[in-house]
Amino acid sequence: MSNDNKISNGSSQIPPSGGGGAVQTYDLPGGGIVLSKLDDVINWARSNSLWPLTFATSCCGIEMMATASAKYDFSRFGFEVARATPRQADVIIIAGTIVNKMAPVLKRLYDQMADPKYVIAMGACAISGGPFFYNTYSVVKGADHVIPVDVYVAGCPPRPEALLHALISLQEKIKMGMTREQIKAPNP
Amino acid sequence: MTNEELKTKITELLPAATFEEGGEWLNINIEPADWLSFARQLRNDSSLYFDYLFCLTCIDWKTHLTMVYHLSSTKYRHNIVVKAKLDRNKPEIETVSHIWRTADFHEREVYEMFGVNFLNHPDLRLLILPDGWEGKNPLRKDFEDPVNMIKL
Amino acid sequence: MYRQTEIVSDVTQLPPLGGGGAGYFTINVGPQHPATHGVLHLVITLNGETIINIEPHLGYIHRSIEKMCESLTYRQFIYVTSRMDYLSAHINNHACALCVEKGMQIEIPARAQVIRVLMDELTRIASHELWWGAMAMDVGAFTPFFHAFRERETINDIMEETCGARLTMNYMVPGGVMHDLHPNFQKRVKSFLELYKSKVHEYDELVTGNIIFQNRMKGVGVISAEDGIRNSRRFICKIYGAAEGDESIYSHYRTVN
Repeated sequence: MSNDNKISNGSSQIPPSGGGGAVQTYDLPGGGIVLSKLDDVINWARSNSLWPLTFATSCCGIEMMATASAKYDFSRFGFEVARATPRQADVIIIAGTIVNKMAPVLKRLYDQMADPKYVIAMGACAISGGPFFYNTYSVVKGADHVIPVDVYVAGCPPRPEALLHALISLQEKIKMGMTREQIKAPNP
Repeated sequence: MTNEELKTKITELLPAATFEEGGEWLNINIEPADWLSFARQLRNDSSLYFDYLFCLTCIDWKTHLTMVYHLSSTKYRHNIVVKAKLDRNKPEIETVSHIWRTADFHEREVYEMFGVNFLNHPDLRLLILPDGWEGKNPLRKDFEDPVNMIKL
Repeated sequence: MYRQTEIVSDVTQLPPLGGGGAGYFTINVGPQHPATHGVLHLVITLNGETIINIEPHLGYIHRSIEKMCESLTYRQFIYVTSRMDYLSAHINNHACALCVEKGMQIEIPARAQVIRVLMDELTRIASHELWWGAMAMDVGAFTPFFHAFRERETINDIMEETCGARLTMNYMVPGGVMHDLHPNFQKRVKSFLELYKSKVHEYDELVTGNIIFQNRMKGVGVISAEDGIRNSRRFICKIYGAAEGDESIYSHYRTVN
């Protein structure tokens, strides 16, 4: 913390990177000491290093790549390390249609991920089957028939800003110490 | 070769063939039994030289099935369409996968989508559909799937 | 079964699939694998580091579009074609629209034809941007990806202004295009072309002129012209172009111009 200590009020500050305000810091005489609950620190660290799995089945995958690239750049928020193996990933972004043949693969990937793990359904296909809802014999009508989904992003495909918003909302909820059940609830 | 020249040449090769005019490309209707020897001739005849099969598909007319082969020559740049009418209850035709290797996958796809049995195909099994779909042919017009399909 | 063989000339000598055979082993690649860029599933038989047999499994993104189209009108299934090859949505729309127009024998206005070709060409550039960016990423260089996407985003912005979407535009319809170009279109495309010309040499320095990249790429996966025609896939266009001086491929563009 800064050296110009404010002894008089013992003020609490929200660190600039905290955002959600879950981590409380106290400036003390002498400076340089942060007191907080261990859980808060863990949640803060966890929320800022969510590593996505590179899982893209169709169109939304291209927008996910656009989100990762120069203009939108989700590494600003701690998602830069896209992992190819589920065992190192924390969040799976279901980008694209899930068909009946792919569903067991998706389930297996999800099972291979280590806890705590989060799921974002990106785009209309992953939410409900989207444009491929009627008269198809092979499309799963929503990825939540296969694995539990935390955040839904609407669009076909969603803009990169929409995906960023979803990722940041997920971060904030994790920072607030929510469990997965609380994140999934409609009005937490 | 122009369509007229192709027509003359093909009549020589296969007198039983009938033609449909009016389209951009010459359409040739043949009997399924003639297909294998005819395909060999189309591929190997030096003035035809159809070395490129760029589309192989099937149409369900509800009363019968039609196999459609689009052929092109990379040397002479002429195209033809060959059609063969198949019985809907027992559709069978000779494979051409040893003449044009690309037909291998296309025939597997037609096999699973329409249920056409390609005789002497080296490896006739499902390509796209998952296991357990043998015998169900989704692109037939009367296909019903109450489990997966939500009708509009 | 598709056998791509380099060192074994007689396919009957290959070991049965599923392993077995001394010295061979079988590995699965995909359907979730970063190098497949999608959901291709390959069962690969290896002899040391040499691939001697590949058996592809397809259909992990089989969305039964053909079955859907049975119950849609021509106008309605344009939007599905955008999602078939989502990197070149305009070109798919164009093909579908041309097909309907040819069947109905409709002549579309010259302006619409020009707009279509302009859009196709922009799409093609954007698609190739993604291709070479991802290609370089696959051989281990991450930086070109960012360069490629920087220019791709410029095209996406131009598209968005006219069509209202970045990726799946549904802009071309049977009979023409959905609506006229945005007033800014000409200005923005011209400035994009200026920008792009100044960047091409940069790409060449970074990727195609790079000795490491060349060493990784040259002589790998060579397909002979004969094999290409026999197996007939998209690269046939290249063979056509090589055989007869690009005559027929570009004739469409010439008539429009």
